[in-house]
Amino acid sequence: MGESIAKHEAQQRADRIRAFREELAELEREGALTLDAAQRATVESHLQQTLAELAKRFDVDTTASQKQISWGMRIASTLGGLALCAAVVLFFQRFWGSLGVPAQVAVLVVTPLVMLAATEFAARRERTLYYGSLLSLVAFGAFVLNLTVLGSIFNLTPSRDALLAWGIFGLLLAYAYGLQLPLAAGLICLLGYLAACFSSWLGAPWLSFPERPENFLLGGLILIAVPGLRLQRRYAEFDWLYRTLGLLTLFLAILILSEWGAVSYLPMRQSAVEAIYQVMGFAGAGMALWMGIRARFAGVANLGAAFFTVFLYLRFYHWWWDWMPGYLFFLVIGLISIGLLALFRKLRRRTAEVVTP
Amino acid sequence: MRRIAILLAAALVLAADVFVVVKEAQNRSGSPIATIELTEWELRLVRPQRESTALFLELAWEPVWGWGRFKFEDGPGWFNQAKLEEVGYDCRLAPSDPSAAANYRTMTAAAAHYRAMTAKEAFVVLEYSEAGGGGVDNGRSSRSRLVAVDAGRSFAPLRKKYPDARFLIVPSLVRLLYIAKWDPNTRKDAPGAYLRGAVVEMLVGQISVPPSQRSVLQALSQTTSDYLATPEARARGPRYSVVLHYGRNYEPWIGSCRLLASARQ
Repeated sequence: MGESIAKHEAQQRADRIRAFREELAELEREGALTLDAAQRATVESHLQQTLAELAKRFDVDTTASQKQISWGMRIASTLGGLALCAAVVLFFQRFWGSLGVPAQVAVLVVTPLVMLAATEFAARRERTLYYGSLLSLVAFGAFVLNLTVLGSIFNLTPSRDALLAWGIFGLLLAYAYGLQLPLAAGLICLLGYLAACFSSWLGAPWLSFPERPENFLLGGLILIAVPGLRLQRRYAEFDWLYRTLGLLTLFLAILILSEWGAVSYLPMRQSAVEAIYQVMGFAGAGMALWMGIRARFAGVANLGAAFFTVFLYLRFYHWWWDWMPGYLFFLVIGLISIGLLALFRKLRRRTAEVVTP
Repeated sequence: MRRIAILLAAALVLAADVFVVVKEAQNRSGSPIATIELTEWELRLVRPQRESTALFLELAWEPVWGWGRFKFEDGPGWFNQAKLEEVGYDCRLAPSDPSAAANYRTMTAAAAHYRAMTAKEAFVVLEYSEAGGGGVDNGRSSRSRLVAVDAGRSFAPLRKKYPDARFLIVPSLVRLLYIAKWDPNTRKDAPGAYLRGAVVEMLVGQISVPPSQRSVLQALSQTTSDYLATPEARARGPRYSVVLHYGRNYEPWIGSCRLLASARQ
């Protein structure tokens, strides 16, 4: 597990070296800094040695083109994993009818175990973990298939505990290998489980948990808080995923409640509920934007800005669409967008001033 | 550390599967709590996907639920406000209001309050009635002859009230419906509204056909919905019957299937 974090840091170091080389070349071209031949040779030799060491130990990307190809490989690995999951599900469904119950159960139990072993095998052979990531996704899909189909074969009443089992399985895979895809899948299952528990505690059947967005608020807040935990500091590369998923959950729930207060648990008039969540939406999105800029979490700031804009435009729609002519409505929206651009530019300039000593 | 995580993941898979198998064994231990023979009209043949070789039977009952399904009825029937309160709904807010409107932005406080209520779990009593769904069968209807006749929060009192084998007591999801009254003369919403319940879903609505019985149903080339679209369905009637058992956890399984000779001959 430590290896994945070290790899994350190694990649950051390689990126810094690349940026340093580019900047050094630029400074020399502008005449701001000139290194003599001996100095240049010493620096270049040190950088080469460091990069070679990092590449050997962690298989990091040392050039821009390598990095671009790595992105392509990551996308291919995700799509491949999803396609293989679909293949496993459809293959089982295709031959389900020709198997007896013991054979069905055996296939269902063995598939995720074999995929786990395959993930471990791939991870030992390849440090970049593209194949490991792909196989871990198939292992996760196989476990989902396992419990879903066993439930169908034996006609069991659906249970929310399956979400808990899938969530834990995803997290174990993610933390074992430092993989983000199983982490995202596991966290989504755990969010569903928490929401289902919340729904049950309030007297509704767990299956109806998606009907009440408030069921997801607690889970969203927990996800946002996780990167702050001491235990989590060893896995800093997962932090952005926790924050992004947590904020997305919170903002989507608030967005639905601000538009349709009738699905709230709050014992108030629908309009009052909607007003409360509208205020919460603006405050939350504004806070995310501010915190994101302050703590330099680009994803948080972007998500905050995006939802602030969505909340704002929805308000404009409700206030003006019915009585304003269409052309005037879009003109006003356009002018406001220009105003927002100016505001964000000013904000950007101010943050640049803070960064520059 | 990595090895421990992987071993834990493998152990989790095995533990979850053992739990499922034990639960299943527990459900089928002892004698079934209910056994009933139903026909294709009550247990409809479905295939989950085009390429799938799995076979399922879907439990069908009357009255079928759907949005707007009860709009034109005179009243709530047996699933009235009192029964809704019995299954756990809070119906203290008076539903009757003259200005109930279709648009959610303009509907009354009562309409908004009740329409936002989620489903609830309840045991529903389904009566297998030879008279047919809704009492309209004259021997030609393909409607299910399983009719919802009562609901409650626990199994035992309902079983005591309906001890006969023709009553099936099944865990289900029920939903409160807020219905604006309808004036058939003006063909518009009339002043006032009432509450009624609807059985929206069985917790185990699709029942897997075990391999031992698959050969019987595999011979049928059409699913029930495809079969019902043919003129043959009306003339021939249901194609098979199934003995269905319910176990200790109120979960069903198929005991046996047999093909029926043409019912109309």
